[in-house]
Amino acid sequence: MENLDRHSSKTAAASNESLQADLIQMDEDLARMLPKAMPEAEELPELQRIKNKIRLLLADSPQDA
Amino acid sequence: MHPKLPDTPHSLLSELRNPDRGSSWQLSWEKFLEIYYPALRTMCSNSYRFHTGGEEPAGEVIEDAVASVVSDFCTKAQHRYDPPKGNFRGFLKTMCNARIVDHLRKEKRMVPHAEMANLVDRHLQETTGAGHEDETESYRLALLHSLLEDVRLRVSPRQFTIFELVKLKSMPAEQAAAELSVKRGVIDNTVYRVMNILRELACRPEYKSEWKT
Repeated sequence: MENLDRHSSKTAAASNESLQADLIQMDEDLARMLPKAMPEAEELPELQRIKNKIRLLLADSPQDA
Repeated sequence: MHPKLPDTPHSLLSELRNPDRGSSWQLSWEKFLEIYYPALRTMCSNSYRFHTGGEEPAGEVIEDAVASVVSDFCTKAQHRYDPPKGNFRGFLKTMCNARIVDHLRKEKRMVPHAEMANLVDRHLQETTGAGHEDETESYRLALLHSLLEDVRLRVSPRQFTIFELVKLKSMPAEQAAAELSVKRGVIDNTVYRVMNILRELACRPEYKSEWKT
């Protein structure tokens, strides 16, 4: 029983460490990526062309029942 | 019950599945395009370079491919996405690759069918190289944009503005406080709260598994 308790507390500690490592990594990733995530103030010119192409494709595509 | 697509605001997905294609559906596919466009563009460009031995694709080829992928995804393909069978990034990449292969076949520039299956598999499983790294970066940015859309729905416009100034535009907190005429403590508290929401959302298993792809 004691062994079992020891084993489960070791497993819990390992899982906690892994969770902590994940959180630290996530914070680093967010800190690095957030300044790049600023939405473009102006829409990219090709985006408007792609939207028009999609509108044409959608107009030709049958609507779900 | 529809499959859960990762890292895309729930309201956006619900609207994309709305068969009546009303005005909010139109806004939703536009939002989907805006979030995923850089990643789709990179996936299509990488696929083109792979199949042509490094040629740069013409802009129009990529625009046509992206338009076709988004149109197909928003009308039909989203229903085929099955998370247990693979991640969302792989699903989008497969769609992009198929469009590029279609284009090259029309131009009669593809290798024979017998060799194609191996070639496509090899391309889809690439996990190294500059192209793969570009794709990883642009896909992660798409995930982050999508997370930010989710965050935006969970906080007030004022809170999001503060977060945007400090974390996205890298404005010093002191300056943000002066511009918005609030106390410095309000800025710090708001950023702390919004970052916690962002972390909480980023901890969802479907997001974490996509981030690691």
